[in-house]
Amino acid sequence: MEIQKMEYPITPRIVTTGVTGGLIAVLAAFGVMAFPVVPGVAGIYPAIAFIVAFGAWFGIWAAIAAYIGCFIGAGIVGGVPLVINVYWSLADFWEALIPAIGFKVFKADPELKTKKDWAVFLIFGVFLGNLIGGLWGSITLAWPIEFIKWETVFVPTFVAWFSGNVAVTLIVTPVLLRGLSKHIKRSSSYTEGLIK
Amino acid sequence: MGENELALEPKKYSRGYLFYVVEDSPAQKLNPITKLFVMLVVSIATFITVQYEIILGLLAITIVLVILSKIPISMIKKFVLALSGMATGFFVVNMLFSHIEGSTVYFDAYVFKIPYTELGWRIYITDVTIWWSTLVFLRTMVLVWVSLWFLIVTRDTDIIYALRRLGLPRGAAFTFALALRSVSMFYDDFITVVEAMKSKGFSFSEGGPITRLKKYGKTMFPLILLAMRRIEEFTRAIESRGFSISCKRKLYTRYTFSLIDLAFFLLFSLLLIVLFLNQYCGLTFFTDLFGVVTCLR
Repeated sequence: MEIQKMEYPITPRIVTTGVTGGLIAVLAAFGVMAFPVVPGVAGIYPAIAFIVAFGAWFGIWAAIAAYIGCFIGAGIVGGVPLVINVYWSLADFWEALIPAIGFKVFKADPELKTKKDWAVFLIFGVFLGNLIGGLWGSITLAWPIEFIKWETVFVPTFVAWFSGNVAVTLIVTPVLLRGLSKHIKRSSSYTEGLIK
Repeated sequence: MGENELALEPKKYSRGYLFYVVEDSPAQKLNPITKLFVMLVVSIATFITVQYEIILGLLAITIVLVILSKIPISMIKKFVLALSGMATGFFVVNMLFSHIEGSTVYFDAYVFKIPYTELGWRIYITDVTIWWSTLVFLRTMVLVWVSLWFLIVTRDTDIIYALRRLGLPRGAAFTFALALRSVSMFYDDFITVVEAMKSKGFSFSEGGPITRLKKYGKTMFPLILLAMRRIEEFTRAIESRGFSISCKRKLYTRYTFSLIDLAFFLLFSLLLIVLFLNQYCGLTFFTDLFGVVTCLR
């Protein structure tokens, strides 16, 4: 009897998205409560360390998890109105998707073994992801619906967001990637590509 | 009364996302869509208005909702204090870092300045800064109370039902509900891991900010490994129950849409319409109402 290999198991992906979304939500809530800057924004955001690592491991599913986690943890708990929260939380989606694209497209190893892996991590995970996510998160709090004043978009919102996230990503994420990638690669949640 | 019956019937509780709530709580009888609607209206209302008295009125409404839902204040005290601290943080950061022009400048000085440039940390407090920071504080408090109310009186099945009724695909509704359920699990896990590390002599309060960050980073290892174990267990559990995002599923819990739900819908819709007219069309219903109340007093 021939045993058919399941090519694309969707259930572990959905569960991974839900469970990691919950984990991101807890850390996001901790960040906005402990280091508040403006509603939904934290000076030090521990969740970003996970978001980038999850992006490297789980691809697009991590991006969806980051969106849900940000919606619940930083948005609902952090005092962002629901209507704004729906599009504002995409900031974390980009922050996971951009490193995911970097790692999967350039076939970089999440264990950060080579210079190429480090370059992908620094460019996509630390710089581009946080820059685009930070800009999205800061601007969408003031436009199209003005929830924070335009005068506060760059300082303190964007500056705190970007600098805090870069610091956390530089310090914590490599520890997670180097320490846990070997275990995660063996699990059913790990994706070789962006989706599968 | 029979021999086996207890003289004092214990209260029955049901689990919300954060705490247990008594089953006879009026909020439990509300349709989940009504609860979601109330939360949505209050959150919209907080940002369409810039008047303190209206935002304070919304805060009063949310606190009344919490009290009417029979949620013990002692239970949510810790959360409210932490979230009030967060709102205060928003106030302080806005006062110290924002540069909003106003008609009166109360304070204008550099804490430090890079020589020969205009760069540095300048504290610039105007009348508008104070007004804006207070507004942010009050808005946050309203949103915090209404979110707490919603998360306490809502169960997993309620969320899935409400999201499905609003047309969200089953996979998305399930994922969102699973994420919400995971929040309380990981919160407990995080506390357990931190306490376990402390009991082994690990100090989180020593060292500079980077050292502390690295220490907190070490709690992440067990958290992620726990998450991976949960993912495997959940996957097996739901697959063994025949879970599939493509098949049609029946909702086992039936929710009725009662007169109370209708009343809530009408009341909160009216509130939103009045606030909208008040803010954008210049109708001074609330101001007049407050004027009438003041005259009567």
